[in-house]
Amino acid sequence: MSERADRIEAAFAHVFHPSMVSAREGEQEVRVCAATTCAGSGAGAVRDAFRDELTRRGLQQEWRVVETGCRGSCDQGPIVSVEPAGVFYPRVSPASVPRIVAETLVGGRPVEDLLYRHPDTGRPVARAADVPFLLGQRRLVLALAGRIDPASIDDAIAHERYRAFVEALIADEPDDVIDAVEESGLRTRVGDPGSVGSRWRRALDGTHDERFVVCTADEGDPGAFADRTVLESDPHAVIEGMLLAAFAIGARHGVVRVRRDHAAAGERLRGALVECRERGLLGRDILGAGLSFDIEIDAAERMLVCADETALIASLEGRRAVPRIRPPAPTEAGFRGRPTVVSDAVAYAAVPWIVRNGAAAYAAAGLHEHTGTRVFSLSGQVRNGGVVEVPAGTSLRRVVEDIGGGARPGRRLKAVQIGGPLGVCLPATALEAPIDDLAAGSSSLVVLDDRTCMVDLARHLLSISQREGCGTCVPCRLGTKRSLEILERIVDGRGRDGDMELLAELGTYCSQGTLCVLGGNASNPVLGTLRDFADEYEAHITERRCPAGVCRALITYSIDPEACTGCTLCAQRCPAAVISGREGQPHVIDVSGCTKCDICRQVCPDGAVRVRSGVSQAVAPGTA
Amino acid sequence: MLGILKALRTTVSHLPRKPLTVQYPEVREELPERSRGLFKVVVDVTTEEARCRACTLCETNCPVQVIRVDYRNKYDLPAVDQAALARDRLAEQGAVDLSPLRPIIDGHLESGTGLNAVLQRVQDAYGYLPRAALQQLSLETGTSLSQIYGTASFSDRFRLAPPAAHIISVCRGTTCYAAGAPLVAQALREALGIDADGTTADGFVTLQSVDCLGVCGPAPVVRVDDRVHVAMTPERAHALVQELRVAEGVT
Amino acid sequence: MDVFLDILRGLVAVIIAYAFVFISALVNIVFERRTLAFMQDRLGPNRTGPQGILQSVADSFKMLGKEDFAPAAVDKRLFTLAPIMVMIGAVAVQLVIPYTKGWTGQDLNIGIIYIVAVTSFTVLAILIGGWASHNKYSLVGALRSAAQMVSYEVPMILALLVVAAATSSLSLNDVVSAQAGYQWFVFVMPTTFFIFFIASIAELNRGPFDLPESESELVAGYGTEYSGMRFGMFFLNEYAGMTIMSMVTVTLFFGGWEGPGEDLLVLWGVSVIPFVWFMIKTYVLVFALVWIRLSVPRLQVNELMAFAWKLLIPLGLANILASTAIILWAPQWKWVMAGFSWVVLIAIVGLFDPLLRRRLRRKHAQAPSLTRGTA
Repeated sequence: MSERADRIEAAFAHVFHPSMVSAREGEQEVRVCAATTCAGSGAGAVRDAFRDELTRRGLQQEWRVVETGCRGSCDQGPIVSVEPAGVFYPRVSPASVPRIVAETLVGGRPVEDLLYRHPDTGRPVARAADVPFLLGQRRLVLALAGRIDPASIDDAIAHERYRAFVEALIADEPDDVIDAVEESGLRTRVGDPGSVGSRWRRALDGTHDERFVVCTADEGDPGAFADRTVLESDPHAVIEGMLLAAFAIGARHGVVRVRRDHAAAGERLRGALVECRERGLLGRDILGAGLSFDIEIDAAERMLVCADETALIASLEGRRAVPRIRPPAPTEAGFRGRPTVVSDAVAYAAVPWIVRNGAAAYAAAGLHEHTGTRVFSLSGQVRNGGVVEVPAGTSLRRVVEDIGGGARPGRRLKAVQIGGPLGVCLPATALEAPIDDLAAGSSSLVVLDDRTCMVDLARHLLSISQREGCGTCVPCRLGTKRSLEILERIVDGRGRDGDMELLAELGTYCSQGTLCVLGGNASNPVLGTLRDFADEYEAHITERRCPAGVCRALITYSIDPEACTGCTLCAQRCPAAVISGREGQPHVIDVSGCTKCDICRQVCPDGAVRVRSGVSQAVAPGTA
Repeated sequence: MLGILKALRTTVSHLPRKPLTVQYPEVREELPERSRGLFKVVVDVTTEEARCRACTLCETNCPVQVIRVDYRNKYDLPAVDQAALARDRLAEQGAVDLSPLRPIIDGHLESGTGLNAVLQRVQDAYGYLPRAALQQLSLETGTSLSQIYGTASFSDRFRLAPPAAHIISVCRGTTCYAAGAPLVAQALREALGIDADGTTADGFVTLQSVDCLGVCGPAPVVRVDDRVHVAMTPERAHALVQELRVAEGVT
Repeated sequence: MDVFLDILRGLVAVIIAYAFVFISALVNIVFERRTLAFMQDRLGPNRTGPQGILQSVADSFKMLGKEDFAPAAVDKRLFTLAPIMVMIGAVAVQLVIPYTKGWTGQDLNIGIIYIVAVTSFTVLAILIGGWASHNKYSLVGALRSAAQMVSYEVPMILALLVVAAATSSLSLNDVVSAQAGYQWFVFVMPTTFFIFFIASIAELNRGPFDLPESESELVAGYGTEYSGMRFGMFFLNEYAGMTIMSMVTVTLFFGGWEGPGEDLLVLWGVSVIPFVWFMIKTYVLVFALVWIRLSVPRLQVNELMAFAWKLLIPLGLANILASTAIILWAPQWKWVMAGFSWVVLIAIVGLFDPLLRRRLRRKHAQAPSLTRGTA
């Protein structure tokens, strides 16, 4: 036994090249977040600026520039932190880089005016750990995100990656691994929300020649980016999770479904897999312990229907992503007819932590009776969006207001949409609800303010589900289509009496009569908004009024003559050329030609453009 | 009464006749030509061509999967092999150089990558999925064309017709939606002069709605070819199209 | 001891009579099914037993195997009595029929009346069955059936009376003897045969007169609430009745057991060949019954009753008048009768359609139909 331990440890030591570790704790580094969102905001230029500046000052030996994964605060990108002090700079532009190098790197002082400002007090916050966005989180799965260079396997190993795997190999008890995962209560978002451990255990039943481990980073919902973040920022966590799964159930092959439009995530994962293979962590007889496992990437288009495991497996096999009836469950006959365990990337990333620190510790991370943590993609009309990881059982209020910073200035929080087209819309009054099993579908948590029309939102979400449905089950195929028609009529101002009842009925039948997760949950947004925002529906139908001022058929733009200063900006920008007025005089919009493109309202410096709706001509919020 | 006698005569006249039924299953009847038990391709007598368009719908929909539309073995027909419509469709797409397919197909046959990946590579090579390429793929990999078509048409990423010179993609994620993406999309449609997502008449721009471009912070987000534009407004949308036109010298 | 033997003999006779009823019913069923099939260009049941002759046996097993239940609300005693009673007619008639030369169960001198009396049991049994079912549709079906049977007994009796007049005896043996020398009454008085035959089909609830039991009209009429062997009894009785009634008809009109080769084969004092002829003639008539059933469309209940009361009974009365007159006064009455009867029959057959059409046209002219145009 100890001989085996020695052998494996020796092999693992061989894997690790300490000299190639880039992000080291306690050393002088500039960490630049290079994940997709920050990259989209210009992180590449910032990184180059730092490198150039350090070279110019001759400091490239003393200070390292490390590109890390997602720090979580995606709204504030590009994010830079100076280690080891941990000074946190949001929204860095290449122009500010020289100042930061001069004052913080060399001088050791934070640059006051570039620091993050506390949203409530306005006071600067120097350290990342003190930023309210990060304060409320418990980063367990995303522990290494933002601390290491995701492209470096040595960074990962230096931060204890693969430790859990090695120890599991040495102990050689697959059952213990499954026990740990099961007792921890780790859950997955794929398919019917369920326990990961119990799926692994079921996959062990029966004798089969092969078993498969499938990880999906598809996320279904257009607005979710939690799995992507994990793959971009800490791909080795996912790989290690899959290795542990393979060890537990005796699989030899694994597949990761990556979205085509998550190019960076796919690249990172591909690079990580190559490194693993080179170092001997994937392939035949890993570390001499007898386990052979390799992972393949399947890059495909986002498909909402792949939230259903059987549809995902069909798509992996190259067929159309059409779900099939269960039983048999995928743990019995899945990919190529063999037992398959399917989980999302976030779930796999949690597995190494659980195996290392024990099921009890994971369970203790949750509040009250909830276990573990939950990862969300927080976005929408919230001040601080990004990837958050909170203890399960945290109330929505805490996530949205304390961590997210609440609604944008001047706006009122109206609702939170959780889980994408297959999720629920919770009104602002219900924010005390604990986050746990609310998110059945994706990880997205979108904050909506009073300028969001809930009817229109329900229509939009339903249109996604309707478009993405595979078409097998009549209640889903026809139910969503007819519901969508009704909603489009309502949004267009042609709602009829009885529409709401009909929508409720259609939604219920659709969810009861379908085969897969998509059909079962496609009507959630509609049913939820009908229940919680019935007044909006009624306003649309009976008064032909859109309270949020969004539904174009129901709104009219007008200029408040009291507020208009006659700057002619709107008239210049109006693409339909329907605004007239002399300079200095209040302008007028010719409603008959107005296309409601909203440009005039956005450019008006005086806020004089009003959006009115309905016979009562009620003014939409944010435009008064 | 006489009628009854006639009826009696009729019925008894059937007595000595050979019955129409046979002792099934010991004896099986030869099925008539149009019975549903067997089927074959119909040849139009006027044009002497097969009516079959090789649409492979029958193959896709057969519940017991006993139909294979085989492009190799042509039916024993007097007419030329492919249906006229398929030929027209191919002609529409112009001659397709199949050489880029070679490495893709070889790679697929070697490593067994999924169909999705292969199709994406084909689309990367051609900009869309030409039918000729799909046919070649079907021939070489043995997957039926209907299955390839099914996978390709299931997601809107795969284009089955040549795209325009520029592709403008508007993100339709919930966040972008709530931040005003529909207004931006509308502005783009107005600027381009099209009513819905699609290609402009002159083939200048294809406007499409895509899923999350991954930049959810500064929503709404629009991607033009490879560049991502954040925090779009309807006004900037108009400006964008204008810039594009100017750059291309298109009015 | 003798008494005991007599009783034993009686029991054996009864058992044989019942057995004959059952067996003839079973044979008839297969016969009918196969004949119908051949006349319909198909094969009929031919798998159970060679050429399917065991099909009825299989059906009987099936029927026997069915759950014997009675609906809760029925009158239990009457419900059980009806199927048992229905067979009495068929069994009892066998007593008087002359099967072969010198072999009759009991040559009653009131044979013809006995037959009529005993076949009325069927009517009673059907009424009891319909009533006991506690089901208004069964009751209506039973009443219809009873009405039909009762109505058609009249022309049947009228025809029988002519036969009795011709024979100047009511004994069936005398009837057979009176037809000796191939002077069968069917040749001598075909009209009477015609009336009798049609009436007998109606008595049997067969052929075009089977409204009371047609499934599409009244479910199964009086038999709705019966299942399993109880229903089987009604069912078998009908088929047995075919044979029995045919035997009666053969006796009355077709010379009974008369046929060539009478004394060729005699076993234990019984001439076998005449018996064979008797059975052949019987089964020719059974075939005729099947044939008619296949070819003639069913009569509606009003048509049925009208046919009996407005056609057959007046015809029968006129026939009796004329026939008895001829028998009484005509020299060579058989020839006169034959001539008269054939002419009348041909007239009936020939004139039936035109007269009917004229009558209908007149009726329609009185109440012009809205759907038809001007005539």
